Amino acid sequence: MRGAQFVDPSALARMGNLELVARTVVDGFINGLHRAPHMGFSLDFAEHRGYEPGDDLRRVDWRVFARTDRYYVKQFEADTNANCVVALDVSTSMRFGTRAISKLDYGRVLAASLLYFSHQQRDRVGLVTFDDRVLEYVPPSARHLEFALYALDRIGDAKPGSLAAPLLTLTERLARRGIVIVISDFYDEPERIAQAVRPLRFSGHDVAVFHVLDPAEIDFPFDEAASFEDLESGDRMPIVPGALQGEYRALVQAHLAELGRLFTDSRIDYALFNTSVPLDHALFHYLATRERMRRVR
Amino acid sequence: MSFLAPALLAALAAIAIPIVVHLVQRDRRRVVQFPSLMFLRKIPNQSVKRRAIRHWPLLLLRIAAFALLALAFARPFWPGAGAAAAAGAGREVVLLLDTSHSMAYGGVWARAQAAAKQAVSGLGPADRGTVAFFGSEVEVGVRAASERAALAAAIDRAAPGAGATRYGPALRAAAGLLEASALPRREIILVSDFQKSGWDQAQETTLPPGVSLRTVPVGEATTANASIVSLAFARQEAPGGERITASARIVNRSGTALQNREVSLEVDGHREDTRQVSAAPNGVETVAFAPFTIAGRPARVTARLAADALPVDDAFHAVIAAGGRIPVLIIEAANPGPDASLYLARALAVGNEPGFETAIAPVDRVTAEQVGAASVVILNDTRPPSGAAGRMLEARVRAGMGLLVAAGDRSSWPDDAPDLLPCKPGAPVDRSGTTGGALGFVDYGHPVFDVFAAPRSGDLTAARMFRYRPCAPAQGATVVARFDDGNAALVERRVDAGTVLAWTSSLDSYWNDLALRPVFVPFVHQAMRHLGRYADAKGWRVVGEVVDPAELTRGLGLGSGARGLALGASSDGKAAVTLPHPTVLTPHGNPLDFADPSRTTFTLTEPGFYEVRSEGDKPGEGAAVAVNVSAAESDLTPFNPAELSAAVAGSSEGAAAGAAQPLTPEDDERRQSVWWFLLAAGVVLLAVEAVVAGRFPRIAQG
Repeated sequence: MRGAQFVDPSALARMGNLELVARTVVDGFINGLHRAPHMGFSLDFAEHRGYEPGDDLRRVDWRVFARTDRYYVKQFEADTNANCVVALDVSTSMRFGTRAISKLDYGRVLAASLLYFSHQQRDRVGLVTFDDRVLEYVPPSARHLEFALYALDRIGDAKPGSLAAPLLTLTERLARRGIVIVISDFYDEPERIAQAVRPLRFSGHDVAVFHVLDPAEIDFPFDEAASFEDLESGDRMPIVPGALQGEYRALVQAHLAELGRLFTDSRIDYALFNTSVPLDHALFHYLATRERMRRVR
Repeated sequence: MSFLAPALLAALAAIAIPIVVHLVQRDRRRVVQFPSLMFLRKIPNQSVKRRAIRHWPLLLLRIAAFALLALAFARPFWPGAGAAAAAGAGREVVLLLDTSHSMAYGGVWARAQAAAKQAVSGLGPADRGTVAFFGSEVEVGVRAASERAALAAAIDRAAPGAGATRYGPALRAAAGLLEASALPRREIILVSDFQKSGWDQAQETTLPPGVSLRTVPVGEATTANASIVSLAFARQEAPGGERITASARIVNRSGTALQNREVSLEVDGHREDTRQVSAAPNGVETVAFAPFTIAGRPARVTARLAADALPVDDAFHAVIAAGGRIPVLIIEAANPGPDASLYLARALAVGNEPGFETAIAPVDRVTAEQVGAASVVILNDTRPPSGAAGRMLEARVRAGMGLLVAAGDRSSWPDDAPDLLPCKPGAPVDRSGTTGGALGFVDYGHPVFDVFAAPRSGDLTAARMFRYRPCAPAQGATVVARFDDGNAALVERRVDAGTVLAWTSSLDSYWNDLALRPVFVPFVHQAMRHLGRYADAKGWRVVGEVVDPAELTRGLGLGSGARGLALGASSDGKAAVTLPHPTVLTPHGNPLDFADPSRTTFTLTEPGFYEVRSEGDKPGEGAAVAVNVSAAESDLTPFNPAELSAAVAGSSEGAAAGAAQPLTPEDDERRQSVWWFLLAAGVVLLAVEAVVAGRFPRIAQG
């Protein structure tokens, strides 16, 4: 996309102001690319449908009536006022990072960029941070970008994470259908993860799932024997990495493939983000997803 | 291989030393923080212990060094090395001659014959030659002959066929022929135009050790070829049959433009229309012909382009039949409402490709004959029929019929009814007090919904669902669509050969407004196509495909016209009937000979129309099978034969070459001196080990 600049995540991590970071990432993107999931009153004509009692008479297309002697109403696609809620996992495992930026920082900047971008789109933006419960909830609103960025800025200590309870809470709180983006490292069995996310889809939201992983979690580049400590449970395990590398990578790839399959089956957009990849890729993916948005209006 | 001092091989036990060193030098004192041990816990503990070796390259270096030193001192030699050379320097040669249809281009075939005969004349008195012809399949002309005249005569008799080039199978067949040979030198000579489309690198063909490949390209440097690659048909209902508009797709595979080439359309042997076509260099053009009418028997259609240097792909054949109709039976409640099946019947009445023959019967008066005549039955808000009709329904579903069950106020499924339901419906959920529910999840990959997958092809979620029955899927059933609260909306289950769909709301306008939405008609049509197992008829086949005449008996249950449908026509799931004594005529009118009466399948080898007649059929009454040459073969773009040689090269060309020379005593002595090389290699490895070990101090000290 012309004008887009790929910004190194570690460079962004050195910038303190989240709004500035988000603006840096988003700057250059074209506004007005995606459609909201409901019919609205913008100028983009979508299609005709038969008049039904209760329809607004102002929307009847009188020219078509003159030609066909039947009542048809015009439907338009709304460009504005979609709800866009980002759910960010801030559990202990997200604090891991072998590069200049941890998964949490990456997810935080990614969330800020998506919110900023959606705000530029004149969408209502909201934010949820969670570990094993909802920690911070900023309801979607056209004026809540600053609250959301402030909430992202002051993420504090966290506990081990879990998806089911916080996402169920989010499903219950979101009354209006919109776009929900879940950012997490998804350390759980794929079926349980999918079960946790599906209620959002069943409620009619367009759900995108961004899976954030550090390169070391995918490639397992360790070579010295050591005791590995689980960041969430504190358990330790003696490991000789060189001997396990192949099996570990195969398990991770199988996990990713299974997640991809389950989410695709549920028509949930799924994307894997490596924290060494520039954040602009995330936005590209987001935009591409929105661009081929399903016909759910 | 033997050893002069085999006792010294015991020193090979010394390779255990570096293994032990690497095993005992494990270090687990460091602590590494990691997000989750979820994956590490899944790796079995015993594999952790058993494989706890680090620095594998260093370990392998040390093992190799010890092994080489031990082998060197054991003094290996090859006592029988000269035996092969003593057998003589004869060659076993397989000449592979490309007879695919692209070899008919211009003067390619004449050059190929000349090159093949030249290769045959180069055979020595001790050599043996095999001539094999290949296209899609491989055929051996003369096997392991020393007489050059017989080999040359076989080359003279050969001619380009209609198959496509496939280098992989041909090379594998040649390697198989050479494998049985005892001659020391084995060679494949490949004479071809080396079309790029004929080489599939994914097949990973590799020649066995000792087999060499010589390539002889005979293709032309510059080629120009235009061909017809497909025919499309647009149908329109007309009095007395269907009006068909045929369109031919013409590809110009040349660097020069195609100017005003004549292209004509023939139907059942009569020329119907002629047009002119022009196409840009390497361009594609579509020509639409004047419509023609078909009724009753299928029509044999041929589009013909004015001949060029490769005439075989200038004609394209197809068989087209009048569109079939799917018989659908709607069973409704005993005292149905006035519009219980109104929307269903109206939706089915507008079907065209295929059409639907719709019958409606109340559940208490439906007969077994009505059920037996249907390809799809819809239980529209009612219970299943009882008695003979119920038994027929179960039997027909298990035999392949489709069943759609729509739940509503009056629907029920008694306990003694057959086990056909994909899910057990519960008490209705009433959401009429609000704006109603909607479809929340739809599997757009399912055949019922795939027409809605493209953008702006219909909004299923716009329909409001006021009432529906929660339905727990049965074992083996699949949920194809769900409501926004997660309840199943459409559930599918396979029952033996049949398919059953359960729609958990009604198909009228009382429980939902789906029937009032534009998506209703395509939804119903797709469901009927899926349940009726309808598939678009396949109008033509490609040379090389295998055909079973029994396929001709499958159809939509359309009566007399069905048997004449093009092969691949849709099936209603009825078991195919084996033709007792089929007669198959090739496009040239020659009957095929079925040597084994139990096998009646045949391979399509010529382009044109095959005719399959059963007993009692008069000439021209049999079912026609349209056959065309492979479109890929018309692309004459060549590739470098050296790529093929490099890709299939075996590992012992040197061995084959060396075997040609008799061994002298000096050579024999030299072959025993291999221990010097082993010793030198061992010393070099030890030196490398010293350098590498410096990078891993702890291991080196161990």
